[in-house]
Amino acid sequence: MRKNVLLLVLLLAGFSGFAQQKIYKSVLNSKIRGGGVIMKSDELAGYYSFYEVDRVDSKNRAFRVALIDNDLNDLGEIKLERPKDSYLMENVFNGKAFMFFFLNAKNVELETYDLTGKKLGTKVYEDANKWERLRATAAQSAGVNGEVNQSIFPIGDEGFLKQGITKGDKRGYYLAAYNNDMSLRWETDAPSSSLIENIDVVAVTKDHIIGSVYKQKNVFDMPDNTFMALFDVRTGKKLWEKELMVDRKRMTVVNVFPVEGTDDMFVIGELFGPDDQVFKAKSKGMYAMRMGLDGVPLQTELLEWEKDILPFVPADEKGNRDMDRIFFQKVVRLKNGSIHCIGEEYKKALAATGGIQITTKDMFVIELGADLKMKQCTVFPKSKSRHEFDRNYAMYSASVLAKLVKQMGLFDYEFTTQDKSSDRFFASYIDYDRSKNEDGKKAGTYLGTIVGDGKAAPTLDRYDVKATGSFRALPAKPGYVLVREYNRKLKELTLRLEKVNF
Amino acid sequence: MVLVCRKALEVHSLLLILALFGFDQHRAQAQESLLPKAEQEIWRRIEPPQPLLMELRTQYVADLERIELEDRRLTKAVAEDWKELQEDLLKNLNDKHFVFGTPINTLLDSIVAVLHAADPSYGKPPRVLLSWYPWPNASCRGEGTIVVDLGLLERLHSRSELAFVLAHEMAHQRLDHVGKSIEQYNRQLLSDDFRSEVRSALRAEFNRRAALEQLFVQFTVGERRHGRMHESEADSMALMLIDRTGFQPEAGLSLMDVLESCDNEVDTTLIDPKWAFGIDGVDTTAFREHKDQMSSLGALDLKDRTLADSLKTHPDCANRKAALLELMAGEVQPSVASVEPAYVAYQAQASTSLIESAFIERDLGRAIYLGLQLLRSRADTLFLHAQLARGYAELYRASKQHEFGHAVANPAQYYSSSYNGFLQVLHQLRQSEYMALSQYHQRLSKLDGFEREDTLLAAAILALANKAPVELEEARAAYIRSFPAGRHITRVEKFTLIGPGKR
Repeated sequence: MRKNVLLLVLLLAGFSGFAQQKIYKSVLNSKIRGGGVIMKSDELAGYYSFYEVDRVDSKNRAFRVALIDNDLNDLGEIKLERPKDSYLMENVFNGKAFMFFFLNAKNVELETYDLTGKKLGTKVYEDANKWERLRATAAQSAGVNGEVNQSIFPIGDEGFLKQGITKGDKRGYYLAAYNNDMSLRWETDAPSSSLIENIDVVAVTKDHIIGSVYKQKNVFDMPDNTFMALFDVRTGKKLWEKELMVDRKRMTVVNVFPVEGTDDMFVIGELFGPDDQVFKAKSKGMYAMRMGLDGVPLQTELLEWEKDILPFVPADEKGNRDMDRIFFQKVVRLKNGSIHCIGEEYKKALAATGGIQITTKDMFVIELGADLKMKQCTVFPKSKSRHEFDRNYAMYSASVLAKLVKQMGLFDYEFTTQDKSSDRFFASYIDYDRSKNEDGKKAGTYLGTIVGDGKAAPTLDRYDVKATGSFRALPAKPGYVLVREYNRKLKELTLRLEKVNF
Repeated sequence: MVLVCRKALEVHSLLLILALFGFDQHRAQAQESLLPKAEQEIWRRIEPPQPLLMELRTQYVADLERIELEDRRLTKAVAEDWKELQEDLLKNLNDKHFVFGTPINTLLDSIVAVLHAADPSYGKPPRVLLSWYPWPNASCRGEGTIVVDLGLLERLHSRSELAFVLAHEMAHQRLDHVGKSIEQYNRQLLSDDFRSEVRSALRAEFNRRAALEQLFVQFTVGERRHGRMHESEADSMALMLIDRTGFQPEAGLSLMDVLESCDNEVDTTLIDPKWAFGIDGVDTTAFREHKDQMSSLGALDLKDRTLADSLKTHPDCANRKAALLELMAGEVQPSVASVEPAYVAYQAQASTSLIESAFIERDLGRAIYLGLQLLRSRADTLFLHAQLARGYAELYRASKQHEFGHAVANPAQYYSSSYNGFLQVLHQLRQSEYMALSQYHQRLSKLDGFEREDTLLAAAILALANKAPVELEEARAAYIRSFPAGRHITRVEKFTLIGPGKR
């Protein structure tokens, strides 16, 4: 009896911690139904954990959303009652309200809460498109860290944007803007046509939504090119859509930044050969463009992998330099005007099992100046990681497979944070060093963080995390990484903030 | 002849060796004895006195044997809880959580002696232990021990306030509050009604946790209410005891003001980052200001305040003060406390020792913060520079090992603006800047020509972190030579860059 009461005490308040570390005891992994970062635009606001605490009746469960800020201080919990199969997929914050994206057994649901934990509104997508559910289910295992698999975004502090897939059997993009109380501001979806139009939302600013659109004849079709689209954030009206090209060389969009003090935008992306199919061909390089709000390019700088980047790749013992494709993980722009493109090298090959393999390799940081011309490229060697797909995936190009790898969270790259005050970025990745040390044991799991400030070459802080259980690195406030470890034996979940040295 | 000569030579050599050894000892002692007196009395962590441990062990066995209640299960449960309390104190003693043999220990003992003499019906006088803990707290363990935490002593203004604290804890002991609480807690836990309710909750198919939570809250709220009554009783009894001594009863009122402000820092003056960190090798232009709202989620308000109030262990200080005033029936006038001249030295020693306390807790940020605060008013105290040199060196090493997170707190809403502002800047410093700051304070700590213990320790830690064997051996050898019985000798002796055992 005493044990039961004491156990209850532990369950109710089972954590301890010095301010930089939190330990949650008696954590049953099976009870956790979601957890991760809370994003406020491109800033990390804190973390959440969604877990089941009670059975209310045969269909419903009592849940808690526990919130901590980016200094690991407890902020309290929001109490919810929901269907028993609920998973909390995403959590964003706009300064005045939270939006939660729930995946239930049969539908998806959005809910908003204010700063006191009071529910403001709800929207259930009863007829959620099966593709929407597929996307959400895939994201459930891969996780959402603010850079991948995110489908809800704050709009200022008065609303949210939901990016989804159209209802019914037709597949195509769907965008909806809501106020904090979940009243609908506007909604729009892909135009009716014979083509399936999908969108990747690249940026949401206070005035616009910028996306990369690709159009398919059917779900197996690989489009030849992508389009850049601009929407008015207030009305959802598409202002324009353009296929980006220079001298017939096709260009895809990786990231877009507003230029302060003007209506212009910087656009960064990959460059392909004339008439290349962007979902099949290997890119020839990258580009940086300054574009007006009307979509007219004002300045374009091109970089070719062979000519401009390969010279920076370290030579092997025989003096050979080699690089394959680069997947752009993140592009950041600092206040001093420098632009840093963080990429991870990858390659498609046949696997020994007969399937298809994507191998990821070294990290690249390509720096452009405020004039968009390349300043330098730094390569950070790391161990290879391999991801296999069965032979049915052989028909997909390396680019498509890499996108899948990205959505499944299987790249070694984890995330990038930006310190706007000190004008620095921190790009973190995991290096699974499979080489053996002197004792014949595996060398270890390293957490590498590339630090750049646009003044000198980026530096690397790399160390052995000495993980004792299942381990994950999560974005943290700039200059830090959050290390999350779950020890199955002790049923302990530990969160700690590690400072990046630079 | 040869034998005699050889013997003479041996004796002569022996005398020479002894002379040299003695000279070295003398020189080491001279080194220490030439340091300011306050530095010679720096507290150190020592083993607890064996007589105390033996006394406690003997007493505890007898105490447990004496427990006999009407119900066997209840007796067993109560005995288990007492045993846990006893083992906790013994463990704390063995882990060197307590300070012995200092002037403050003497002060505490003398005050208890005066209080006990004023009312011998209190029974055996309690033993008072002074802990290293930085919290502003004191507690009655219930078995005859009162623990006073270091953090409280810094905040008090007078011996009378300290006397009131001790009188309050003695009252708890006199009224057997701990014993009564343990018994009552177990009675309820083992009562048929409660057990039935818990069983019922555990068997429920739905809302099991909600039912258990409610039970737990009811149980705890009741227990805490009881606890608050005990506090009021202890206050009244303390006042009656103080009245019989030469201590000032109105100190109880000023004490309530002290406790009211316990969540705040003693010194809330902001530390100027340029003053604290503005040296060669540190880029102060990069410092960003601390903002009050440290996180975008800072405005969140999810706490259940009603429950928090019900779970308080003590009545509000304002209520306690009002109750005391009523008991004093207008005989005294509350006044703003100023530090009693006779207490100033104790307060100063407590303040300085809190730096060591922070090092023990491995809270390096706090240690540096306290050192800087004291340095503001005691700029000529070179010992403080040695402490800061040590703090930054430890921080440098922690940073190199990616253990910074274990050594420095994050800003938090429950910290003062001053501490948060300091932490914000400390976090912004680069690794190389911690080293530069340590070296800077090392230089300042030697201005009177002496290498202090903590200065040598700092030098050794930097060398260890930089994997510099020559510098490490130099610092290590200098420490062992100058401070063979120093506070850090065990640790310094283990410093090595070769093989396992790197410390």
